Amino acid sequence: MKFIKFCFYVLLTFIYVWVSSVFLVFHGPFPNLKNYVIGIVSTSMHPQYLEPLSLWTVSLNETKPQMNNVAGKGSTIFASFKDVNDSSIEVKDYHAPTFSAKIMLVHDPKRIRVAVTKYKGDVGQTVSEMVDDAHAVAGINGGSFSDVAYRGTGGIPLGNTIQDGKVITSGDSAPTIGFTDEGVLVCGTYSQKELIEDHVTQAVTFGPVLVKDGKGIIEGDGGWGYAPRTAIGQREDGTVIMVVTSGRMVNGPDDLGASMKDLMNLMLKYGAVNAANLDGGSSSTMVKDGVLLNQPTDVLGERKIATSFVVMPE
Amino acid sequence: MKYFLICILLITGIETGVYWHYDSLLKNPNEVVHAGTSKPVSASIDHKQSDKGVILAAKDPVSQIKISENHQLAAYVNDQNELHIVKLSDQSELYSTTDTHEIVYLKWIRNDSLFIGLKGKNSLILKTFQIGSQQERTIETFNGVSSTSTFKSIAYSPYTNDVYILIGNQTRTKMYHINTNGHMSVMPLDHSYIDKPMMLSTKNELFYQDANYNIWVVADGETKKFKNNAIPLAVYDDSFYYGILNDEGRVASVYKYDKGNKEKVEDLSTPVHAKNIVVKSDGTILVLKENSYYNSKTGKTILLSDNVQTFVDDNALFFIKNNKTYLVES
Repeated sequence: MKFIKFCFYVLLTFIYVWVSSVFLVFHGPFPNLKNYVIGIVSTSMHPQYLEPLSLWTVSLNETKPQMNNVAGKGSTIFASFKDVNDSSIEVKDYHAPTFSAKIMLVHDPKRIRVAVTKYKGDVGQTVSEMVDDAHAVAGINGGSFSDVAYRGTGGIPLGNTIQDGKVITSGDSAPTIGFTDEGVLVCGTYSQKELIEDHVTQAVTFGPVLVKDGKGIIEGDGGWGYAPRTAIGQREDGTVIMVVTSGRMVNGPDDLGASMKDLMNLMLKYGAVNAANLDGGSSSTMVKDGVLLNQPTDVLGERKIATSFVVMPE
Repeated sequence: MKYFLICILLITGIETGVYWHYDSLLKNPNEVVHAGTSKPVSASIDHKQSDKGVILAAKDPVSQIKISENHQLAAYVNDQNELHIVKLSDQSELYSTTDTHEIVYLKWIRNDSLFIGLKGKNSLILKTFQIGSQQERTIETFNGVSSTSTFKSIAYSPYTNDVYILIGNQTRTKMYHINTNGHMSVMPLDHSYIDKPMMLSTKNELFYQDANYNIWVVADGETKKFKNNAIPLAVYDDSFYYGILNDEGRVASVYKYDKGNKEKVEDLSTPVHAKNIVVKSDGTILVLKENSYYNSKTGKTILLSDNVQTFVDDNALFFIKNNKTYLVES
């Protein structure tokens, strides 16, 4: 009898924890936490669990993730960095309450090149492998690839992919991040034709645009939750800013990741006039001189992916 | 009832505190930028593959040893429970450490990271270690395990990012799965004991052996019997090698499963125990015998001198000479 009573109280406690958590998180005085939980669940493999998790008090349709500004127009800053000759690369550490970040500053933007997996159509490569194969000195993960049920092998890049002026894949009016032959970062929605007309020689597809013409354009927290992120931006003097953040509690319970707004603010802090988000999550990787600078969230370390931005030797 | 109400109040207080903490964290923070530099380069690893055997001149007697996929690095644990990572080309030590817990399992992740399994009191701890950055990370602590339990095997795909962790003892096992988002779950299997889990590289297909020497395959959430009276031997890319057992439980022939086809690789003239077989990446079979070993590619049997001890571990053939030197073929 005592055992049945004990079980009854355990069950009652469990129900209380669930119900009280639902009301505190989704309807209580914690709006930032609410947005975080909705972002995490709605961008996961199982967004349908959001409604039962919230005891059907939150609608999945109303909270569908919004990749704000994915279709943002390209930069209006046109310049040339042909004459930049600063060959230095700096790496900086950055710490925020919910994430830490590695920031790589590459002063000569003409050193940036897109690397594509040499097993395209089959499997991907890690950023380290792509950096090695390209005889580059550093790199970060790049653009979109086929990733059905988070089990994509990284072999199939999606959208626009251009390497050394050669079109690898074409995405027709896709959100694109690339560099012109004079080292100018372009980010926004471009067709293949427009990219070629603008002399874009290196490009991948992802988004959203974070900073345009020196102004942050993310509204709210960006609508895509908190996670490890990768982003690329450019200063007015041509310096390329590469950012990789932590997340998914790899470095402890407070390591929740960065929102799009966090990423935008970081880019603005480092002087970006144009910047965009790249593939994130377990793909987020930064490598320099053969050393992995961040801690990718995947248990196996670096993920096999389709494309990277690599930094060529001077 | 009184205690229950106190308990409820306590829970509400804890919930509110935890949620307030995370809500505060997620508020627009006043971050502080620390201008620093990256960690110094500690090791540059050549990714080029070497097909030749390698030599490790370990300083101490070794309790376990694993060679990286490209045969350039060795990780070994000595009898003092010290982990050493050595670059084989020049025998330089890249890293060494010791742990208060016993190091019971090592497995390379590609050529640049290691799974390290530790055994505590009624717990098993799984860590990873990245060689270049020297970053150590605790993946999971398995509490409440029996004193005889250990890490039996870890299988993973570097492409689908599925990791399968088998822990257990001689009679019972439990398999855990971790996906690319770091979510871990217990794998529901029909068998209370399994062994030798192996998975294909690009397909989420997992093979394992049950206690009665049947091989099973788990694919698309379904578990099917793959072969009776057989034992898993090795996986290279999407090719799975397995041995067919004779009535005495010895491997009589080696088969390869690839793209849905099963084909015979080799009939062994003298059936041997599976623990004496190595399958190399090109399909060559090495069979370890009492004072010799056979290479199916050359068709030759190589005699071993009396002062050489041999063993097969994790599909690699080791020679021990003068108690300290290890030659490897895998």
